[in-house]
Amino acid sequence: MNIDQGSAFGVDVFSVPVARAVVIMYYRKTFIYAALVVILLAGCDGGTEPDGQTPDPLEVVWTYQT
Amino acid sequence: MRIGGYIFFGSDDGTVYCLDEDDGSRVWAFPTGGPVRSDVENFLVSYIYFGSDSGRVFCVDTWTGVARWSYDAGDPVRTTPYFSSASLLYFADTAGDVFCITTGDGDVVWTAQVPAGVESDPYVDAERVYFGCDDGYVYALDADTGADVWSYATGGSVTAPMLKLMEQIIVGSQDGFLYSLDPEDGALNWRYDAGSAIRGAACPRYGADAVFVGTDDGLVVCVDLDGTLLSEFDSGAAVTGAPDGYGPVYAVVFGNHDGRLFQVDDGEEDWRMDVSDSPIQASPANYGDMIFVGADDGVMYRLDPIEEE
Repeated sequence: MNIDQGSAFGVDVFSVPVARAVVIMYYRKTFIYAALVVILLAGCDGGTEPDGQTPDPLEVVWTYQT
Repeated sequence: MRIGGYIFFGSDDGTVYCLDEDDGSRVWAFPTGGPVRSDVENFLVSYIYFGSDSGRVFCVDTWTGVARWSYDAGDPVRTTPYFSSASLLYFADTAGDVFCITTGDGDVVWTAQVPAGVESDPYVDAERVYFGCDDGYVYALDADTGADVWSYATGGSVTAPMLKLMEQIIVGSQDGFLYSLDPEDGALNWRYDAGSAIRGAACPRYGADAVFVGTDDGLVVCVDLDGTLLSEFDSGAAVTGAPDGYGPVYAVVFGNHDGRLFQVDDGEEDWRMDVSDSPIQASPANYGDMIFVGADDGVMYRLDPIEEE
């Protein structure tokens, strides 16, 4: 493997079968990250949180016990 | 009551508190000698007024919490004193005594008596003082003399505060009806059957074309000024405080006896939040970007809406 000839993550891009495998792995990670981002956003857009609870619409700024 | 960055409220522990609205720190506390069921009223910013189950009405310096004067009514005063532009203060006690005193030094102008206790906050216009009574009547007295003008019989005690809106006296009764009366002669304009006792004030909708009111069955109904139901929301537990709106919107905020706070718009729930394990009987004070509400466990809350990003 010759890194100087152009490589993706240290893999010889001219080795097609290896490169295809690496690209698939690379995009699989991307899909996983994208899915995580979607899940996180779903928890922040006023919908239900990951635990199924509806987020509080109000923030308790302070309380005073009489 | 909110004045200049401070909030003022009474408690069943017999004290009226002034808190800094930013951090909830106590500025002063004024002991009254009995539970405070009256709201705090303000006059020209400098002084606040409130009644107490001790039987006294107090005038207290807004910023120092020092009493200027107090008036001994003799029996618990649970009505919020109503001040008029003539620098007069109107209130009543649980023995049925009605008072008009001066705001400056608490001198008596007149007194009157009705057959039963009064816990309904009065409304005063240029001519009359209106209030409900435990005997089921709504009374109107001459604001200058205290003389009887008219009375109207409902089917249950009238402890809800009075509202005058678009030349209608609007008040709920524990008979479950919301009444609209003519302020001139007490004639019935209309009544709406809400299904269970009404104890809280009617809240005008933005535009003053309808009112919201809560019921013991947990409903908050919106009724127009012809007595026609516009919307209804079931909160699941009694709503005894008045709903409160803020700004040019139809939405109102209210609490119920499950300790939950709701915002409802046109009969549809915007949101709800479990605030306390104790009932919320009081009316929330809704300022749009902040809401103050007290619960029966003696806790006052400041709650701010969380902005959606």
